Amino acid sequence: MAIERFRYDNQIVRMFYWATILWGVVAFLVGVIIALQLPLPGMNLGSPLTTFGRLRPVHTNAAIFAFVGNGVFFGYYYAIQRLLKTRNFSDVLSRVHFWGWQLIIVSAALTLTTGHTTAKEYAELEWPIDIAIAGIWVVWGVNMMGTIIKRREKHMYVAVWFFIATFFTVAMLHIVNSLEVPASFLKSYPIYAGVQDALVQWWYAHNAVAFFLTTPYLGLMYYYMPKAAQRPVYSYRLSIIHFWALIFLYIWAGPHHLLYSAVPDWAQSLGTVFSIMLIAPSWGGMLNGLLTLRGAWDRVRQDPVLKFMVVAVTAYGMATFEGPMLSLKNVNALSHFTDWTIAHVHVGALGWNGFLTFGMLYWLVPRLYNTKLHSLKLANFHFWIGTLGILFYAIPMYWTGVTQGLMWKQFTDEGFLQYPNFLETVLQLIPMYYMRALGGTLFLVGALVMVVNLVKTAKQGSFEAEEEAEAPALEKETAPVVVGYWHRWIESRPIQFSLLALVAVLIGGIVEFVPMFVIKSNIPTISTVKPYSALELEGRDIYIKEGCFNCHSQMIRPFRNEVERYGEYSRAGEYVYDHPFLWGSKRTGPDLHREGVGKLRKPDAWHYNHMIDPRSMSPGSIMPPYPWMAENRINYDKLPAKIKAMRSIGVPYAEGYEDQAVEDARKEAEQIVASLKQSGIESAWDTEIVALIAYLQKLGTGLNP
Amino acid sequence: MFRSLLPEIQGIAMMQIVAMLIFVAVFAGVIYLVINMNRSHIKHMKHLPLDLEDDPSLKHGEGSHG
Repeated sequence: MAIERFRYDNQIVRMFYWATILWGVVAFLVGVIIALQLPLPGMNLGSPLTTFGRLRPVHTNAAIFAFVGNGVFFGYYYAIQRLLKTRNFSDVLSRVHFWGWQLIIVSAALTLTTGHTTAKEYAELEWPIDIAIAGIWVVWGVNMMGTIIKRREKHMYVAVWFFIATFFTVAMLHIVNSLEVPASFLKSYPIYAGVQDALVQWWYAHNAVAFFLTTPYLGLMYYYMPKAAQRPVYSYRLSIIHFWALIFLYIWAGPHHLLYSAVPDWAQSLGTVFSIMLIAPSWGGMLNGLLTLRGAWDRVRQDPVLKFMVVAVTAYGMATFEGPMLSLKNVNALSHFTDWTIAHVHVGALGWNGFLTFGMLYWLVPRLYNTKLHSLKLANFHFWIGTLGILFYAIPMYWTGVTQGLMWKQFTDEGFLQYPNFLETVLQLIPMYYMRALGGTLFLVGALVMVVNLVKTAKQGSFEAEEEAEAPALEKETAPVVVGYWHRWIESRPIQFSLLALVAVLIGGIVEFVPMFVIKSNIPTISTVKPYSALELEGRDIYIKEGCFNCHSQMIRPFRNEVERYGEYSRAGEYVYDHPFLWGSKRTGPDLHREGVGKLRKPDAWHYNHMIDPRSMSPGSIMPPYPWMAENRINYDKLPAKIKAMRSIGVPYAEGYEDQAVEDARKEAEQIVASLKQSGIESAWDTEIVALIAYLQKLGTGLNP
Repeated sequence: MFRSLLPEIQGIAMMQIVAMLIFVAVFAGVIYLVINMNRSHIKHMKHLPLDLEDDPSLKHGEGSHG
C-alpha cells in the first residue's frame, strides 16, 4: 500500500478561530449592554440603533451565528482533515466560506441595528442575506462532501456524521423558514401566516438549537474530548445510538415552544412527547462524553482544557434535562414568557457552547503554534470567573422567572388579580437584572483574559500554516456486506449516509406540517377578522422595525389570570393575515393582543406620550423611549409594493387597491392626527408614530370589532 | 384524538400505527446493528481521532469498551 504525503491547511483553522474570538467578545459585550438596558433604560443611549428591540437580535445572532458558527467551523476544519487523513477539498472554497460568512455577519449587524428584520427569532435577517447564507452554506457543504470523497480513511468517524447531519438539516430549516416574498430590497413578508408561520418558525428555531448549537458541537465533543483526555471515546456503540436517536427525535419537538398557544392541541402534544423522549439520547451523549474521562479524572484537576470540557458537557446534560421539563404543559404554564427561558438558553449557550469553545481553543492554539499555553494560571482564572459568571447569570434569571410567573398568576381571596398592574411584577425583578448583568460581565472578563493568553501564546510560538502528514491511499472495498456489518458499510458511504440522515430528519417535519397545511379546519375562520388597513400595515412594519415583539407577546393563553389581565384568550383564526406572526416569546412588557379593545384600550394621545416617554404614562417603566417616531416620516412610495406582496401570499386586498392605498392611509392617519390635536399634540400625518398608533388600536378588534 | 380532529384525511387512523411502527423499527434496527458490530472495527473507529503519541491505550492494549 503506497504511503501518500500531503499537507493539512492550518491557515483556515486559524482564520476561523480568530473570528470566533472576535465575535465572541462582541456577542458577550452586546449581551452585557442589553442586560443593563433592562434595569437602566438610559443605557438605550437615546438612539434607535442602540435600543433593546434592535440590539437583542444583534446579541442573539452574534452569539449563535458569529461566535458559535465560527466555533463550529474552526473546530470542523481542524478535525475533518485529520479524521479523513486528507487536506480540505478546496482551499478556494474554504476561503470563500470564511469571507462569505464574515460578510454575512457584518451585514447582519448593519441591517439589524438599522431596523431591517423579518421578526422571526434567530432568522431575523432579510431576504438578500438569507440568499447569501444559503449560498455560503452550500459552499461549506460542497467543500465538506469533496473532502469526504477524497478521504484516505475509509470509515467516517462519528464526528463526521454529526457534521453531515448539521449541513443537511440546517440547509433544510433555513430554506423552509425563509420562504418570503420581497416587497423591496430589504423588506419581505413570509409566505406563511399566523399559526402556520408560528409552527414553521418554531420548528426552525428549535432545530436551530438542535442542529446549529448542538449536533456540530457534539461532533466536536466526540473529536476534541478524546484528544484532550488522550483516550478514545467511552463507547462507540453508544455514539451510534446517540446520533440516530438524536437526529430522529429532535426534529419533532418544535411545537413545545407553542404550548397553550393557538396551535392545535395534537401538535403541542407531539412536541411534548418527543421532548421527553429526547432526554434519552441527550443523556446518552453526555454520559459518553463524561465517561471518556474515566481514568483521567486526576488530570481534570490540573488541565484547564478538561475543566472547560467537563463543565461544558455537564451544562449540556443540565440544559437537555431542563428542556424536556419545560416542555411539560404544567411547567410551561409557569415558565413561558418569563426569564426562566432566558436562564435555560444561557446554561446551554454559556456553558455548553461557550465552555466547549474555550476548551477547544486552549487545546488547539498552542498546538498550531508548536508551543505551550502562555499561562495555565490565566486559563484557570478564566475557568473560575467564567463558571462564576454562568452562576451569577443563571440563578437570578431562574429566580426572576419563577417570581414573575407566580406573580402573574396570583389572585386575592376575593378573586381579583393580586398584581393587576404588569409593571409591579417587573419592578420586583430589577435587583436580579443587575445580578445578571454582573454575571455577564464576569463571563466577558474571562473571555478577555483568554484573548490575552492566546495572543501571548501565539507570539511565543511559530505558526505552522502547512502541516506535513502522510497516510496510505484509500483502497476500494470489495468484501460483501453481511448482517451486523451494515453500519460499517454506511460509515464508508457518505452519499447513502447523508440521504438516510436526511430521511430521518424529514419524517418529523412532514408529520407536523402536512396536516397543518392541507386542512383548513385547523384554523377556524372568524368572519370579523379583516386584513390590516394600509395605515395599520405600515404601523405593523414600524412595530417590527423597532423589535417591539422582543418584549411584548401577542398571544393570550387560555388561563384565568391571562384572560383576567388581557381579555379573551387568542384564537388561531385571528392571525390569518399576520405575515409574519408576532406572538413573541418573552414578556418583558405586557401582552398586546387586546391592546385596542376593552379595558386595555387607551386614547391615541396616551400612546403618543407613552412612546415619546414611557415613564410619563407608566412611572417606573423600563421601556426605552422612542422620540424619533414623532419625527421620522414613513416613505409611502413603498406602500403599493407592500400591498402587492401581501396579495401575492393570500391577503385579500382587491385588485388595484395598491393605487388607492396611500390615499386610504392618509385619510385614516388624519383622523388620528385630529384626535391627537384635541389633546394638544401636533403631528404630521405621515409620521411613524401615527401609523404605529393605528396598528396598536387595531389589536384585538378582529374578535371584538 | 387524531380521528376527531383530522377526519378529512383518509386513513388518518393508520397514521398513528405507521408512526409507531417507524419509531420502533428505527430504534430496534439501530440497537440490533450496534449489538452485532464487529469488535475490532469498533476499536478501529474509536481510535480514529487519536495519534499514537497521545493515546496511551494503544500502547497498553486498554480501552476495550464498546
